[in-house]
Amino acid sequence: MDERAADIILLSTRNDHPLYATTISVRSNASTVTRVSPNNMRFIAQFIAIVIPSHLLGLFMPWYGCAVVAFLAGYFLTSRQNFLAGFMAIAVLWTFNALLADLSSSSTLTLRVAQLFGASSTVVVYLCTAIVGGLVGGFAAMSGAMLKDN
Amino acid sequence: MAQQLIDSRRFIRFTVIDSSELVMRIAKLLASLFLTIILVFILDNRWVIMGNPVPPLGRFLSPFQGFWYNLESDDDATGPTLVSFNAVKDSITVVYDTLGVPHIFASNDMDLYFAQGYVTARDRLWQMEFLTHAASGRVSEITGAGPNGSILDYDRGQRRLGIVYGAKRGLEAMKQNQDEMIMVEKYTEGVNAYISSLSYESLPFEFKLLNYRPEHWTSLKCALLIKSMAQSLCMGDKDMEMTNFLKLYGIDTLNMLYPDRENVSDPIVDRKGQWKASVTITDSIAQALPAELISLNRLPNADPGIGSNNWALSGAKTASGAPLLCGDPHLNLNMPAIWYAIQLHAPGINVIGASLPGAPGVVIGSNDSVAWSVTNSQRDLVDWYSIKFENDKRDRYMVDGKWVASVKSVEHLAVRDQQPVIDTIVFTEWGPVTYDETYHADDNRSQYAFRWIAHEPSHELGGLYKLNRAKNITQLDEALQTYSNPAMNFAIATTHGDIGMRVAGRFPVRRTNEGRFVLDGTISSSGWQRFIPGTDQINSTNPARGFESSANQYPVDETYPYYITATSFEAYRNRRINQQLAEITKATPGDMMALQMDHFSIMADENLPWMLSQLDPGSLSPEYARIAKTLAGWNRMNAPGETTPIYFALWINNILSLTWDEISTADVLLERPTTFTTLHLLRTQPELAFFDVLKTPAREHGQDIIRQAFMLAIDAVSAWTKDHPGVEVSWSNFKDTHVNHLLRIGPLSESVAGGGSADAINALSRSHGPSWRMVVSMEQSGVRMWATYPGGQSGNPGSTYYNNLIHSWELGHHRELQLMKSPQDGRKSSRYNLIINEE
Repeated sequence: MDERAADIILLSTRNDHPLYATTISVRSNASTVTRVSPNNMRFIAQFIAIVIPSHLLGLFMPWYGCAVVAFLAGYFLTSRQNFLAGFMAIAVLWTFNALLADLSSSSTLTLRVAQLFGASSTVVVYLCTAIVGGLVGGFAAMSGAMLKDN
Repeated sequence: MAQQLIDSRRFIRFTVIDSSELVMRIAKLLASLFLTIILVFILDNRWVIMGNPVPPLGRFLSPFQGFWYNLESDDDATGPTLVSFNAVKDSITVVYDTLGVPHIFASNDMDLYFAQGYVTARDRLWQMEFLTHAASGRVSEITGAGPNGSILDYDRGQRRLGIVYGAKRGLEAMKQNQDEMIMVEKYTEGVNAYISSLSYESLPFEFKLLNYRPEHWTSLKCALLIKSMAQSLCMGDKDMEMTNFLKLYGIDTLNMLYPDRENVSDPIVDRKGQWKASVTITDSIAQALPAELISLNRLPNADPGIGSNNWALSGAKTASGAPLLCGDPHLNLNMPAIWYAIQLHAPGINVIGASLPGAPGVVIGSNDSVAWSVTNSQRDLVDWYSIKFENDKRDRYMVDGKWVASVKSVEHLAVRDQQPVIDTIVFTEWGPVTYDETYHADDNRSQYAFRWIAHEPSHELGGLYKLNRAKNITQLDEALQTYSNPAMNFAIATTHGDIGMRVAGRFPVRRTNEGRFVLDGTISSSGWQRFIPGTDQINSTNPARGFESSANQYPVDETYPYYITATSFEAYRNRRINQQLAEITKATPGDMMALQMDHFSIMADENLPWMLSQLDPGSLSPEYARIAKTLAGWNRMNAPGETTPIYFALWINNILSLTWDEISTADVLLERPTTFTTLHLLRTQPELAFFDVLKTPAREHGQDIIRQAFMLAIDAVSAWTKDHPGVEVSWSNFKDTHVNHLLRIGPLSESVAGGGSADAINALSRSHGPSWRMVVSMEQSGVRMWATYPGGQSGNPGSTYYNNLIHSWELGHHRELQLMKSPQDGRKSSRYNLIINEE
């Protein structure tokens, strides 16, 4: 039996413990998200609770304002997949806003930045943006959830 | 493995209340919190990783404040943009046209220059600030010391050349003139009003990339930018090189290789027999040849690619009957663009043209009555004085038998990512001692003080103030009386139908050979005695030939009474311009735009048939013979898609390097003679010892050089083709012109496929060329202007206006700039309005 299969069995038997959440979510989120359950609802609520305030705060707070939001969402709206929720929320939010800015302008700045990073495609800049924002959101949300757990 | 994992998890589950579990959880929480905070800290700061600076990635990549924010939306605001400032007295309207050129309408001078500072900063703040840092030797503050300390070395050089010293003296002079004070102080307030309005997200892109913030603008920064322009134009000299050459080869060889005046070119102004000198200086200059040859690592001279064209056609030669005024100043091309187009309108002034970002006024352009464009007056405005210090402490130096105290300036250079550096510069009354044992001079024992015309207090802005408002030639002359440097040849035209040429600037009255070699700093009479008075300056108005022109050639006919010397004078472009203008009738603005794009190489036309005749057809392989035949049939056009110009350019380059191997391999300072003189000597004195190639045992003559250089050129083209697989062998690909970003960052620079060459009217080389092309028709019904330049109005690489004019400039498709009479005038062609203090 491989690790992934073991995790799914675990999930079906003992899935109410918050400490399991991160491991499981990273390895098998496909199988968990497809099922509509209170847990998934909680994940979606947490995701939205990070995206919307982060967007609004982003307009006048320093960039790491999103970490504060993700931390609070991790604390108050703990899901079983806090890191993933934080990561996805900020990654999606940043990518979406970056895309909006890029699409509204015919300037080639994004390509120039890609070249500054040593790449030839703007996809690299989008990926970096998503990962940088995502990591901060993910770790912050996870920390929030851990604090609550104590 | 999997089984163990499951077991351990079960174990955890069943021991939730265990105290060791709690400790572990707290440890995990702390670890997670710590990781989050560290991550934010790392991503919020700039790092240097293996010598490469990395911007604070979190800030830089955040779409809310990072570089994404600098992407400028294509949709303009629907209504006017409103701002208000207490410093502004009345309402100001700025109409931005479809090219992004601001047309400022103000009701007084103070508001006008405030608005100029504000709108220029809005488009070009980073560039303005960076250029003042570059001028004052402060780049390392932003970038660090650079590879092998090269940037720090540059910074020290700027200070040791006395740029800041000159700017401070310039500012002192400005303070004595009310118009100049209004210009710089209000401009400065305008720039600062913009800087104060900035939050992190609205900072220009480069500040985010390098992670620093703009500092307050000051009047001194305006003065620094003016000196910086003077540095690129009038700081060239070859005094030390000529001193060495004189010692090595004697005066006769020197005069042959480096004549003050080459036997070529139409002078800019030819009024034989009409000159008189109101100042005479009869004494001669003392020679001060040092005991040993001068061997130091000189700072680079201004690039010889810096030059310009301008001309004016009288109404008799134009289709409309109104004079045409044309100009294209050639500079080291940069992104953001060197010039910023602007219109200034207020009571007493309505002017449009090119401004220097960071300095008030319009430098090249037209008002509603007078148009002007400038070329550099190649004139020696630099001297080096040998200094006799009392001892190694250099506290006192000898002048006229007395010891005079020197002034030591202790310079603190902040260097990013490392400790500050202190550099002590010794100033004499001649100027700063640039090179010494701590800087570029190694074991050179004699020390020289540097004197440069732009160290003197001067009134450039006062000149511009009046020039921008001049109504006719008389007022224009009055304006140029106060103009000092960089010395310029002003081509002018008016709506009254006058055309003219004015060589304006401050020129020392030089004794024969004064300034050609290093001078004796121990006697005060070595200094500049007088300046050429305004009445004796070189000028011309409405000449019989119906046009005026200048292209950095020798300025005047041989009857002019004052001694003139310079690093070099232009030998080719000027004659092509004059030939074309002499022939033209019923000229239209379109003809002038085409002439500015002319690719004809007069150098090739004069020399190629003769060069080909020197080849030995019998010994040429078929491939070489084919290329010789192609060259013979070449139409002498350096057109972008042609291959032949590559062979000619490389042939000339190889002739130069084979001939002047004596100079390039010398371990003391020497300089190559000009291409014109080299080709002239090849034809007239092929037996000259300089044509012997040092590294071969044989004794070569001129003809051998020509033949060898031909083979080398063809081999070089083959090598280039091999190194560039899949690239078409064309003149533009070979030339590879780049408009480089000021930070020399490739992705922010622009590549250009242009024709032309330094000896063609379209003097576009690899990195230098026409920085602004302008044609003005001086019609009485209203002045009309067309212009284009490499770049665009915006300094923001995230704006389409960063480079929107590059292509039109490359093709010579000038765009009309409207000299608006009122804001309503621009209703049809405006993008949007900016209103400062709405009524």
